[in-house]
Amino acid sequence: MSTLTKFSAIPYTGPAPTNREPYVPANAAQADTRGEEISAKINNPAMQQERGQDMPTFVVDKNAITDVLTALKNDSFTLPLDLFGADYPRREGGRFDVIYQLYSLKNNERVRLKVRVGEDEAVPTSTKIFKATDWFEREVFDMYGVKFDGHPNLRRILTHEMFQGHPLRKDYDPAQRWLLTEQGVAKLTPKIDPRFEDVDTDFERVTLNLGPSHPATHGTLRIVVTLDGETIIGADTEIGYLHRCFEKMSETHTYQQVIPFTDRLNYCSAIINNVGYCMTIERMLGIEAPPRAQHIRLMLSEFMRLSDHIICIGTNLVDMGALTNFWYLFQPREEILGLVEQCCGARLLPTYTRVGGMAVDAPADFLANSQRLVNMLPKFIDDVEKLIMKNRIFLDRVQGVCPISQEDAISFGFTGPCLRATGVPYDVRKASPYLGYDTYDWDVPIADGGDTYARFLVRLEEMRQSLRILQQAIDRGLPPGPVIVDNPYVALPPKSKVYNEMESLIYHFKLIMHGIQPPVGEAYFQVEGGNGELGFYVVSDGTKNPYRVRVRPPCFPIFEAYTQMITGQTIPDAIAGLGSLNIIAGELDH
Amino acid sequence: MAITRIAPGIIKVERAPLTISDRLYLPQVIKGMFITLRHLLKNLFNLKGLPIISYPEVKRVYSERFRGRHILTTREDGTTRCVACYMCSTACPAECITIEAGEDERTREKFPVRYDIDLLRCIFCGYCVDACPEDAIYMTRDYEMAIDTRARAVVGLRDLVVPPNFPEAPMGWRPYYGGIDKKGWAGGTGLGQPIRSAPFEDDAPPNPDVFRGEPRQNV
Amino acid sequence: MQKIEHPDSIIPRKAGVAPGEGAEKGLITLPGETERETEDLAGGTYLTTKLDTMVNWARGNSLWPLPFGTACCAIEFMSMVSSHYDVARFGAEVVRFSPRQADLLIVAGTIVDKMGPVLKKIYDQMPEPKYVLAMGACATSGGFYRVYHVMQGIDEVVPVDIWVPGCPPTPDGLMYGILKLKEKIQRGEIKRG
Repeated sequence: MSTLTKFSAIPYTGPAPTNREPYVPANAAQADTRGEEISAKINNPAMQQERGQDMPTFVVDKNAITDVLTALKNDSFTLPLDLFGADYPRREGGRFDVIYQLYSLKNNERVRLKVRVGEDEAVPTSTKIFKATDWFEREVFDMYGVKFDGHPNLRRILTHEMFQGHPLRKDYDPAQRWLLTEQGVAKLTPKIDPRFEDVDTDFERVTLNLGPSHPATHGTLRIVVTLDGETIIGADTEIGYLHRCFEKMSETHTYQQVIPFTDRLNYCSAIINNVGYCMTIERMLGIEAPPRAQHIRLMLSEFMRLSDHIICIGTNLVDMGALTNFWYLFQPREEILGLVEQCCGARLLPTYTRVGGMAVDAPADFLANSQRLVNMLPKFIDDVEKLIMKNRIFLDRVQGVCPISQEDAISFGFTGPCLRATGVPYDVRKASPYLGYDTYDWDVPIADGGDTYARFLVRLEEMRQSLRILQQAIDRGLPPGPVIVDNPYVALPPKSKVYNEMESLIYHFKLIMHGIQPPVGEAYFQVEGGNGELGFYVVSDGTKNPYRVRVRPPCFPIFEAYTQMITGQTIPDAIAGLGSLNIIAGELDH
Repeated sequence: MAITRIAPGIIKVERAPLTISDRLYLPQVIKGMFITLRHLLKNLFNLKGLPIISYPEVKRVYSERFRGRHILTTREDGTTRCVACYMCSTACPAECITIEAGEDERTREKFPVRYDIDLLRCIFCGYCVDACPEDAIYMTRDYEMAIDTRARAVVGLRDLVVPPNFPEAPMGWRPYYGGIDKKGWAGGTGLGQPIRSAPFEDDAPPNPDVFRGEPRQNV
Repeated sequence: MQKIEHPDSIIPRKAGVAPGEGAEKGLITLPGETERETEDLAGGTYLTTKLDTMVNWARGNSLWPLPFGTACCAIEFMSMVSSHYDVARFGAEVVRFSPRQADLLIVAGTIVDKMGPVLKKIYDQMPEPKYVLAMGACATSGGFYRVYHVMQGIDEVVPVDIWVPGCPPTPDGLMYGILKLKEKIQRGEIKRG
């Protein structure tokens, strides 16, 4: 039987995404009008609008950036999403782009500001306006060498102390390593918090290093605290112990090869990173994954979100001594990983999505096994809840521990469960729905107080809401159809075509050797990761390697606030609070 | 946990105040112990129902898409299907495949003189399998790969090539055919040849040529 | 292969081979390794030889791991100590995070240049006899991170006894590695102080 009868015997004649035309987003006109309104309101002559982007974008003169940021913050853009750089070495007028992205919780919209800086120029710091920019500016300095005037502590954050050069510059060789000796390791002395400066000095003040190898720091984080007796009066943190240079690696690999790198960002919920990255590239190409692929993506994203919350709650309880819950929670998690393994072959780091859909179709018993899992999970979550939620030991250890107020959380750029624990109902799945989240009936849980107890409540309830979404998704069933787009410039043709048609063989060859080539432009897309808004900003120059890929790590600003959260608490409180923030080092250090 | 609805789509989890019996602490501890006792008794009287996979007496059966160790397939006459086209080494994100091509005088086809996969670099993503246009490289369900000498980590042709009648049972990740027919997941071998039924039991031993114990010659 | 069905689990299992039985001699052996003879403990009396055997048996059966977990492999290590795989059956019940109390250093995850001095310090603080297991692509060879901050394999700073490839290695693959190490210790192939 000729296999060609099952697929179209007519060769593909659809449009080819060319890389000679610029990328025009679908909502470019809307973004342009909104940008005009904003610039009319702010009315600052140093702000020029850049048209044709997917959100209102402005090029701001570097001396006016603080005024513009203050004006935008007073307008409604209170949440600083991201601050990063990009390098365009052959451009006149400043080779670096320092890009600010802000989010307005009231109007649910984003704005992007770009500042052009040259080699030895400095940008005024914005740490007085938003608290989050402290670490982001350090990262830009580390990666590009752009200095920020007035920054309290401008030193390297991700690379090590004896590192020379600025790695994300285009002229930096990716394989150039530098040696760090034991003498070069930084000795940190944390500043005493002003509230405790006049504390009774009869007690000895001790500086303690909760170093990178510690059972309670999940992943590799270094916390240096100054103790007065048992109280923490000053703290400092050091990250970068898992800086795996995702952004440099994505400039040397093709778009398809970056997908395994995205897996390893938030490795507890790896599919969500895959989905975010692939949807960004799909936006740039102007294609949409078929409904079947979107359904599988949604179901696996929710399963992986459950897995992420299980790890967070389980390990947090282990730190507090409640080991039983770890066993009770990890047992269903193994089943979830078994389901993911049946879909795509690897338990933890699936690399399952491709640009335009999924790599392979879901197995035949996918829905049946998902139903078994959804039936199995609630009793484990109920057991854990009954064990801890009324237990006075647990409640004494988590209530009032590591609190953060709502204003501080917004100023630090929190998103996700940590922000929802302060009372702000922001969830990317409801605010900017994707994959059909708006067609399901589910709720966003919030809690009051911003302490560890509130984060526990939010995460436990979010697990229940995920189960709700999954049950509805299973009831709807998988829509029939293909699992990847039919466009041979984007997706590898199935092997039955490659072996039988000449054109498909050539498309296959071109895709492997040259890869996907999106149109020239930049795009930003966000998904709700386990920790908050996971955003990908991709700049394409029309070739097979991305020009710049930036991941907005949700736990980077959350960990920035950690020193503020623990001053005044004791060490056990600090450990209990750290576990509740769900800091994943792979994402934090990207 | 008490839940109140604030707005359509937003619920609030209330911080529950402690009751008198909670403050006394002991009643809740007894209730908690009942839960652990229930788990204990359930496991004690149902030893067969424990979730444990007692490796190595009991092994887990991975799916037919599992991304384990690679193999290079052969045609019926014993020659490798691989034509040294370098697509797998181009698609590999870890650059762990090294190929040297040679020419076969009988058939004028390219074939690999040297095909090395550095198993320590490999991230087992399956891109090589997706990229191969000849159905030459597959992945099996073999995950038992621990080694104690670094030299054995680079597997070459001697360790990768399997005989033509290699059973289909231990196969893992194979190229995606697009589901042309539902015979197995791979839907056929792509070259018009039917899937051979396994001459062994399902748990066929891995390729006996693998890790033969000789250190890799300096090629 | 008889599949062992489990009512609560979607993971199928099958019967494997118990250690000591099967076509190969020894606990867990790769095909082709049967020719390796246990080294003759030359020069020792009968009592010393027996003592060495007993000491090696004890050391092999009581490996206390120090999970130096940095990245994704640490999550798979956590899976190995939880209910489905349970490495506690092999004597590794106590997972000690203090190097003074552990003897098996399992490096699970990417070690970057910034972490190198820390790893060396932890290794130095462990008392003899100590063994090192490098788990995963990143710890063994840097994996696919050929980049400016990642150490291309931890044997740049510490000597490694067993390498376990995989990304991440499945918990049973890691358990295979631990059992292989145990077999090597009990055969006397690893000589420690």
